[in-house]
Amino acid sequence: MPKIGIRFDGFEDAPETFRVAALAEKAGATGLWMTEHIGYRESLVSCMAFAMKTKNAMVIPAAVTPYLFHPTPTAMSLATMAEAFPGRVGVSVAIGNTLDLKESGKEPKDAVQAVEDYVRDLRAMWTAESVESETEAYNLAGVRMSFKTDKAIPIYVTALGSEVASKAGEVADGMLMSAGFSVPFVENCLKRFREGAAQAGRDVSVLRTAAFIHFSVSEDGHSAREDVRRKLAFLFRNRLMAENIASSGIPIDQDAIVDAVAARDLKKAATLVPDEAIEAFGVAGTVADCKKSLEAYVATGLDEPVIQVAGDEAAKTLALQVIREFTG
Amino acid sequence: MAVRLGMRFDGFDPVGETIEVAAQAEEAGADTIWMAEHLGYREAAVSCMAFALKTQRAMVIPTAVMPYIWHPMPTAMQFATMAEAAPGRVGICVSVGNLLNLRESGVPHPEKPVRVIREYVEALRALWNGETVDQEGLIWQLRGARLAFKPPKPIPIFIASTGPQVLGLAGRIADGVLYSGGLSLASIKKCADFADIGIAKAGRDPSEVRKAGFVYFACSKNGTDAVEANRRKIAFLFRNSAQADNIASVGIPIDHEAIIELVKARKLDEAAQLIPPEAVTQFTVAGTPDQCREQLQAYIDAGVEEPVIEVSGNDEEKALALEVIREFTAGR
Repeated sequence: MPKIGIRFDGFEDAPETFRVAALAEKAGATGLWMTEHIGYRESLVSCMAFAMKTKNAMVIPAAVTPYLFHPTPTAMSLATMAEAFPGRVGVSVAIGNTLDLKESGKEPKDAVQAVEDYVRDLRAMWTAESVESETEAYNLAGVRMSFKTDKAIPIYVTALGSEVASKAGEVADGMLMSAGFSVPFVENCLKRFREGAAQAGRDVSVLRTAAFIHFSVSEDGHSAREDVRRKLAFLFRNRLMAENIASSGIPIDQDAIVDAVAARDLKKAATLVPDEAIEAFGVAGTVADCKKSLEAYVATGLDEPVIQVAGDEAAKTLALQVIREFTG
Repeated sequence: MAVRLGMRFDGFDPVGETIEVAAQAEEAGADTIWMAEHLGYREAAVSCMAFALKTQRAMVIPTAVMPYIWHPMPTAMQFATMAEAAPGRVGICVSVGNLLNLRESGVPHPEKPVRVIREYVEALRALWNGETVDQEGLIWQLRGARLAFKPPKPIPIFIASTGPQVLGLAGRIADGVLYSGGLSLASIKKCADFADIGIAKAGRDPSEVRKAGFVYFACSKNGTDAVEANRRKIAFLFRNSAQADNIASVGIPIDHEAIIELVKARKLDEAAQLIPPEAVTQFTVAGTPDQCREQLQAYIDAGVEEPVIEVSGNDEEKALALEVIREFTAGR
């Protein structure tokens, strides 16, 4: 059965996300990812709740940043969850959104190194060995966990581009691709991920890959496509998306989008996202359209596409139908 | 202020077991469930989320979040999320934390605890209030940080300490104060005095500040086993030289230095032998169920508005502890 995950962005209230998590698992979702958007619902306690409300799905806070989450309580939180729900807990690590970090008083210097340090230190703590580490984000001086979990907690690294994809292959148990990657860019990142793993002498067959996908479904397909167009316009405000945009070969005026979003004119920014970009960078349309587009992502060798079950009740019902048919 | 009875976990037992015991304790009548944040053990916030979902009415309180290693932004998010899931049933306790554990986690000298805790409490409250927060704190800086949602009901903030300055701060700004476990009644009265000074300074009504206290608790049918169990616990507690005043407060000769040396040499059984049996009930609640109820009442009479006990040991001891909770809270 193909794997599919769902993700929450923390924008909806906690009880509603717990309800949807349970429904999604029943529909066939195998992963429940909770985005750590700074200022919104927090991912660790949300994932504990998801695990309690479901039976088998993996729960994965995504993404925890070393700049705001000290590794000692983070290792404890994840190990506590993994003890309660063995084999069902993972974590994704990332630098975090630079604007959010700045508001929280943090300005990363060498973020890729910080992520690598964090992965190494979390893993070391879970062995219950004494850990010493001096990093940009924190220090550890002999900290030690007093309990171990029976099953390992896989650590993903969230990649926004090919450089971090390669680093993920080198150091992590998996790679989570950020939302809005085109199919060719997913292929490229998977290639870099495997190369990174191979260079580090790692067995790539045991590593995991997942990708957040901008997703929307509707009865007519049209409103779903317009929804994804807006999401992409907002995403493309980020200069780090230039590599992803270029890989598609679709002419997109990213500078104009950046300017429009900066002027808070999201409507104008959306008009700069062409129709073919919606298909290239997201999954949108009717249930049948979405299923087909998801299959294109999986054909790249991706293990787990991760979609959203969001919107009004009708949209959520259709999204659950996509999950059912995809895993059918 | 109405008396409440709480129970606490120390994070030493598997989390699945604590979740079950939490539900049983609530059923028996416990009003609050406190989860100690011992670094290296089961983590309090995710455990409390589980307790909240497994129970119906008890308040859950992670204890204690340490401002030196928990950034206020994710902490505010975490507790607001829990409060959304269990409105009116989530609290937080803040304290400096254990110095050795902090050192191991890269904080060798927790500086200016009164300032750090004050800034932390102010930041949490402002974030939960939906404000845009700018704060150049000693440990953390917030520059336009803001929560996009608000907890539906207030999250009471407790401050834990035995030191006069932090207790005074608790009296000035907190919703509650938490006394550490293993204190004699005389020590508790002293702590209450420090908190009261803060309450008076801030011109607050004493009823605005709940006084809770962790109480070492053991119950057995014969009473003797419970006393022995707590003898070991307080021998371990007394490894700390800062306990000297607490020990002196009961007027029973105890060779504190010898206990420190024995615990350091990992000879806990021998250290326990240096605690006279009659001293055990000066610092803890231990005995038969009847004796435990009486001793708990003594804490309440001393001004502890919320004794927080453990439900631990073997199945029989846990059942007896639950029985004490049931009888203690019956008829309210």
